[in-house]
Amino acid sequence: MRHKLRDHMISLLFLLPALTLLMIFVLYPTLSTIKLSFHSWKGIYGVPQKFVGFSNYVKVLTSDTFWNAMLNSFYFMMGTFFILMPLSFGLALLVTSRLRYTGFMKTMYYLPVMLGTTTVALMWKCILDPNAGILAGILNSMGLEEYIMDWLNTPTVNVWVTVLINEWKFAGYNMLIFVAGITSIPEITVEAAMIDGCNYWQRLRYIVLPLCKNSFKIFAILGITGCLKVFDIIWAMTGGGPNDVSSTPGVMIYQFAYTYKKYGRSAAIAVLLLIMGVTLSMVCNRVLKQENIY
Amino acid sequence: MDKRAKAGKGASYFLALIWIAATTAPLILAVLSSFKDNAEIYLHPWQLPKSWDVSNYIRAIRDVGALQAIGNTLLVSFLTAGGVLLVALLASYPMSRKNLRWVRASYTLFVLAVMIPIHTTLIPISSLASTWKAKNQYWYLICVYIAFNMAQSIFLVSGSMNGISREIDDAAIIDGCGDFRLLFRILTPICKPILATEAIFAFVYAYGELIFSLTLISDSKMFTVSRAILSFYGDGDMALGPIFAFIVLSTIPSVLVYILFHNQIQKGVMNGAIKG
Amino acid sequence: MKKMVALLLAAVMACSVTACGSKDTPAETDSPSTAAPEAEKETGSASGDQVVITFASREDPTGSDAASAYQMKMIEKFNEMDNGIHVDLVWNTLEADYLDRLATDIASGDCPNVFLEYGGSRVLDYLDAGLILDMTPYYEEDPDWYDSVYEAMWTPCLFEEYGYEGIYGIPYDTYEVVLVYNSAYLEQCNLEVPRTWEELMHCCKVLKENHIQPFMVGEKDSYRLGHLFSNLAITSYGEDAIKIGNRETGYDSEEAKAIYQMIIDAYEAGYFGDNILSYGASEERVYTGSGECAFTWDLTSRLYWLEDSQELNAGNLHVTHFPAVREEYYGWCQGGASRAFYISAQASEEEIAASVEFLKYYTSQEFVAGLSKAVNSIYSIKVDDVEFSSYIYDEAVQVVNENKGLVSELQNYDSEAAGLTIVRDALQSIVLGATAEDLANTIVEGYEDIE
Repeated sequence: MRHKLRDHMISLLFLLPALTLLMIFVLYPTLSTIKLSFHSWKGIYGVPQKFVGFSNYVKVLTSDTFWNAMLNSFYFMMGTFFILMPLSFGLALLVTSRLRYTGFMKTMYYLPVMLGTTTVALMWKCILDPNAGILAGILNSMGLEEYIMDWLNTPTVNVWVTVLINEWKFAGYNMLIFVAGITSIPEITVEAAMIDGCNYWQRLRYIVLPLCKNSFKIFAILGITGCLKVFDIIWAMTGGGPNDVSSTPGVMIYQFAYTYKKYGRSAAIAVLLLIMGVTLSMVCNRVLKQENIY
Repeated sequence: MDKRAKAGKGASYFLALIWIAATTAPLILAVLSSFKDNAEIYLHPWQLPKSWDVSNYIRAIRDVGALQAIGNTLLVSFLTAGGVLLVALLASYPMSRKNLRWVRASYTLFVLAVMIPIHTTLIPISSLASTWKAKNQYWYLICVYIAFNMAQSIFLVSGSMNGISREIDDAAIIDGCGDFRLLFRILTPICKPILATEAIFAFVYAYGELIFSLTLISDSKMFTVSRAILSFYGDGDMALGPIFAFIVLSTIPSVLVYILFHNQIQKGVMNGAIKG
Repeated sequence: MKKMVALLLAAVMACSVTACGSKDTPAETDSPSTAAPEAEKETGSASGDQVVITFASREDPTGSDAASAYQMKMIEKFNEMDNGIHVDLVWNTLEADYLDRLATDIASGDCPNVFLEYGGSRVLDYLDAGLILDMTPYYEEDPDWYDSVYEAMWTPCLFEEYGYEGIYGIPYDTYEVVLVYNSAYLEQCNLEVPRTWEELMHCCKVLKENHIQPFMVGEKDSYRLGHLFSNLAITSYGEDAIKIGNRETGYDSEEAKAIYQMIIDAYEAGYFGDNILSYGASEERVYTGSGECAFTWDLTSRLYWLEDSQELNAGNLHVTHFPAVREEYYGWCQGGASRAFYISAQASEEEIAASVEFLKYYTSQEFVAGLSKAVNSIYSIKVDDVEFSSYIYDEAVQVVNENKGLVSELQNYDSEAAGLTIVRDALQSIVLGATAEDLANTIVEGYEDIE
């Protein structure tokens, strides 16, 4: 019994910094947001919030803009799982292989993350400018002028363009997550498989992938939550427009609070996202549980 | 057999090269543009600059204090990275090693931290800051940064720790190791690759973070890079040349830190989970 | 291992050092000093000597442009005076960043003592909450201060139609929308300077036939067509245009649709340019300055961007009244006081008194005359003749003096703060092929969406 108590005390002590920060900067705002979602508030301190029950939720769930925004978030998720995942895993394999210059590659691949969203948006807007951008220039010189369009302002096209830019930007980031997973596989296991006559693809399928399950789990959780609340990149590239066609729930949260001054509505959207995000993450957690090899 | 292997290698190099081009193109654009003025940037973005005019760099350094901003940002970023590692290591230990119910349940809370949209936290955090007179204070900003990075780092670090054999624990405990010693002297070195990875993540996050910086800091001497660069976004007008110069200046330390840290990852490659 | 521990220890130590003070970072450059942060620590109830007030505005705290540099210098002078007041700056250049920060501060109880706002429905919300100081007693006490402002500029500080009797701030910046034209292109095509919208459309047609692009509208910044909309309405209906703004006349009315149609016709004829959503006002100004297009409409307060441009240096760019839709409204346009400063009423008595004193200094003849010269701009506060650095500013002043009627941007008359965004966003869909009917529906639905 005493042993058990000591375990509890140590665990509490070790978790204390994380839990304290969590309580102050995450739980308190979350509770505050949940409360706000049942009220109506214009965002002026001292003005009492008016209780409105579920009406914020009803208005959000019956609004076309919201479902369009969810669809755009879904496009991001498709991009994450069908483009980003294979891309960043592939890059991870590349940089942990026996090729030369992997160190240089690693740095270059991580560059987009280091540049920050504002910079990345600025650069890509220069590239995608239909009048003077390089993509237009290339298409012109290949005689394909009819394919030039205003990529960032055409509905649906602009969302997918942003999705691709997003994958480009985070390829290096997720590459590092997978690298961490791959490098933690003991050399001995890999060598044993080679001695047994496994070729590269077999090694990949039967050794590397299963032992990287944890990395995939983290990728999935970060990916899903990131896509649900995506704001920075879409705001920088399209501003949610034109006329809200490329909006996402993250953009709506910002707009309802800071542009329309409807903080209650903004909070309702946030709570909906939280429920979705936590649920999906817990599902990932179950499904992708890594059996330890020990 | 040899030909196939060679072809495979060739293909790998080719793909690697394509991706290098894709990732460095924007940086090249930034470097070229940092020597031009607005008109030249709009009209001839990809040509070599007419003249290698360093006036944009001078403007960045002199007019908006680029060097000071970079210094501030390095300070904040290093402290954030250090803080995140410390908090994550401490928290991952019970999550990975102690099989207690309430510890496993707290995992869900950390998922909450990863999921919460940033704008919903702005007002409560700002409100706390004004109550505690914590605006224009780096320690508060760093605490916020740590809070928003620790969940992800706990996932990574505890995942890595889970992969370490319990035999090591047992051996250490027999040798008389307490929990602290076990964590810091034995488990931490094995986790070096993931710690270095997480340090990079936290560092880069703090380096480029803007929203909290805007909300909590208004003293221009304390500006970080992402905040100081806004000085060039005039009213409906953007001085692109100095902006790119600033970007180039601020990317250099970031890249250096990255190179420094990922050497740690290289070193940790051979440290499999089975330690001799 | 040891290295890591050392690093962590250093981090912890550095943390505690930073916690003690926020300005330990050595000044590596001679960046112009803002209001000294040291004073911030000494204030509050502890010292009792100095009252600290915060001043929020849309300027650059690193002083990298003329307006910011001038203001910082003058405010430093104020801080050094022996008046027991210290001013801290909370400055952000970009409108979005500024308004976001202001909103967060107001929501968290940290409202700046003196702050910039644009009048209209947001300020009405603040007024409803008792946040804004009524300055009438101060103007009664000092009538010269009240008289120093042009009568027509008080609009953003008056809310009579909502039941508020006082004067709630002081206007500062002012602007009018004017037409900028390139005389070389007009001469080349034997065109007269247009006075009406019809004449302008004719000019555009002729210019296009001669392969000169009339306008290149930077509609990525949605206020471009937003302003066009207001100006067309104002020069069609005069003061009745306000009824569209406050939705007495609906956005789906025939009057409104007529305006949409004018814009659509001009866009479809190619007068505004191609792919106009892909670039913004900055690019539009570069294009005008380098002669890529013949016309633009812009604010008198933005004419400084023409400086050093090719066409201005050649003496080809000129300013005239916005071409009226109806002849009787020639000389009318969108304009008025754009920025105004307000004082927070949710502060202590000393802070309020200090805020009033600071605002008096900020709007004094000395301050404004110097600022006017530094940035070649005209303000709501009367100053004696200022020497401008280019002929174009003199032309602008003349247009301003000939003005017959000034109406604010229409959505400012709307009690719904989001009106501006809804209308501007909807206008962008013209590029996506929307008809006048579509626009009407989009706007009406937009309002319903945020009920």
